[in-house]
Amino acid sequence: MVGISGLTVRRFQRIGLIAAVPVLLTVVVLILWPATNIVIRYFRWDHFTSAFSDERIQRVLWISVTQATLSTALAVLIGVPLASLFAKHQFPGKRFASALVTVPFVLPSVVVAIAALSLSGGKRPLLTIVVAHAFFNVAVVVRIVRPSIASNTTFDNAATTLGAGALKRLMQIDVPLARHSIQNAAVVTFIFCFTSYGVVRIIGGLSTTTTEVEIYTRAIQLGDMSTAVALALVQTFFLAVVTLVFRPAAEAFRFKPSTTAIRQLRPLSVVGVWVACGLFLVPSAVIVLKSLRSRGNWTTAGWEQIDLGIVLRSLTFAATASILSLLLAGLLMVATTHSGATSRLISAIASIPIAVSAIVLGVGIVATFNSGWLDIRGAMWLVPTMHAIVATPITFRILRASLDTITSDHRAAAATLGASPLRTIMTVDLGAVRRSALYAGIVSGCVSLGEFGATSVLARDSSRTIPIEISRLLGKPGDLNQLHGYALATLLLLIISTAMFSTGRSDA
Amino acid sequence: MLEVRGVSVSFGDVEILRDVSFMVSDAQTVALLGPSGVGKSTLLRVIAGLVDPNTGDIFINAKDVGRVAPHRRGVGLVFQDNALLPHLTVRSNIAYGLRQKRVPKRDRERRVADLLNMMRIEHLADRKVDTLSGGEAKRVAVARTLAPEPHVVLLDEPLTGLDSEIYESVITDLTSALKKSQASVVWVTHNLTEAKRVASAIIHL
Repeated sequence: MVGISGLTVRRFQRIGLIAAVPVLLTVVVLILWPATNIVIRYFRWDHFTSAFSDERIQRVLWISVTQATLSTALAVLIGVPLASLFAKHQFPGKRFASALVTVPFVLPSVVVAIAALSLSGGKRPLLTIVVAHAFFNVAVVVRIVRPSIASNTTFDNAATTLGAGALKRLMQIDVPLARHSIQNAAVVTFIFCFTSYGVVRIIGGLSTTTTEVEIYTRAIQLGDMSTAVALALVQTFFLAVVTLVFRPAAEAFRFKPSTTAIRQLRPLSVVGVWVACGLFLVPSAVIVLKSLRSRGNWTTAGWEQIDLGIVLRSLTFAATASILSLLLAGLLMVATTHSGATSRLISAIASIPIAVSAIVLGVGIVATFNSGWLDIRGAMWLVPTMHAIVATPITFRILRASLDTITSDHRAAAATLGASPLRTIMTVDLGAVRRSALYAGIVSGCVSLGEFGATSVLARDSSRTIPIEISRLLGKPGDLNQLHGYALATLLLLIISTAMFSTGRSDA
Repeated sequence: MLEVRGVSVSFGDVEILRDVSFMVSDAQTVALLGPSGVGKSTLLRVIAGLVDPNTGDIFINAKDVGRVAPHRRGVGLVFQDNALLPHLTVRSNIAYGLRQKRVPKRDRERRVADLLNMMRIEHLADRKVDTLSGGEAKRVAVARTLAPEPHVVLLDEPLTGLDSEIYESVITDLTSALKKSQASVVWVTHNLTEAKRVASAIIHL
């Protein structure tokens, strides 16, 4: 396949660059400017060096690295065998089992954290954090590794005929051939766990904190912006290094998945898989139970307390964030597909929201837009907009994946049929992603419903969302507050699970 | 009428086509014959405006179309791999070009029905294109290309990969549809027998 003519290329590029403008403006105004502003205003070199000789900060850094490493290891240890199982075997209820494992990724961190806390009874916070993080990230590992193992099933069959057992095939075929995907999944998981906020804040309490929680404590509760900025800089630098050093090259071996290689699982193994996947239901079951039981009695008192206003507000924010995120991701997709040589630069700038943590985003906004006409802190659009920014990298990935079915020949065909470059983008590129737009919209809505980091910095009384309300209620004494908090958490779980299952896709 | 005059194409140091010239009258089919890698597909893309030639000109109905964008040239191209739009049904793929020309709905539906009938694919109208066999997909690709009534029709190895029975039925329907269209047709193939059968003139590349 050879390239298209210069005349047409230039017209596509112009559209790509125009599409990039709103995305870049959003990143610059709502992320880069606030982040740069707080660094310039609060960074002091002497404070920077003295902060790191502080024993508490040293402990925070140590815990951050340790919990992220252990969480990643546990998620990979559970996720890779599950990915192999789903890739190579057929069994009754496979779709549901796969959904049980992969849906947790969109569950609100607050809900998972309080479930884990209830199960552990507040003991061994570090271990509880690690298990809660693994619960979320097994989904990431399965999602990234499964396609790669599915593409190697021919070798797996060859190994079976040569007498290799299941474990040998996992270790000698799946793991080596999917090593790049596994490494990629590990890097993504490590970054997620390192910057995790809700889980650590709720489970870790005062003793077990990580950099992300410490940034919040310093900036919002103690007003110590210098230390917060120093920590944010170290965290961003450290994660950039991790990404650069460990980011793998493209998958070494990639073959078309062979559907004939899928085998039936034996009945005993099916039971085992069901029990294992059923474990993913435990946190939800705990939440539901705790919303209905107090001091050994069944009660609906917590449910009766639910303020529909907050629920409606959360749903409105989610719908707004979802539309905004689809818009940003759609524009970004057009920009990165068609802007030619500048697409790598646009892609790099647009991925800044991934590198800057949600807390830093929130703190940057609060510290920058705080006076005169620039004071947007109380604006109702701020929270859903930040949710959209947090969700856009995920929305973009979903849309982008369905654009893979479009080749330059499809666009050339549209041109020979009379479609101008703009019409081609509208009817071919955006047409092809239309089917996954609903799914991407629901996922970004779920991300918004569960978002806790940026919201905990930005939300005021008038813009409190369900996760913020849950955290507030569970932090207060009294049985009714606890019941109310758990009832809200159950409702949130119900809304998100219904939304996710309604899409009929188990590959969240 | 199509005229290709002195077309040369190079990608970097690699020369793909050197000084190619030929003419195709209305309702005439010319076969471009040659082995793989000789630049046949590139020449079709140059005529369609998808690739810029280093030198040379393309005239359609005596008009130089060198600066005319592909979507305004009135050239239809049947791609080797069909390039059917994966998110549209068979019917919507065939109607795609008519929509771009803003043909009114009633006329559009009539034209699509005619083409479905001509290519004997009425039963596939509402199918998704990824469920079609090779022969079926080729019939849809031809119907889609002919729908907006282009002045020039280019076919890039349209029968490659079809087994002998399907080959016979597709070639029969395809040649009769092309005859009806009255377009200038360039048919790329590496099969001499096929070239002799479908074309009134053969150009060796």
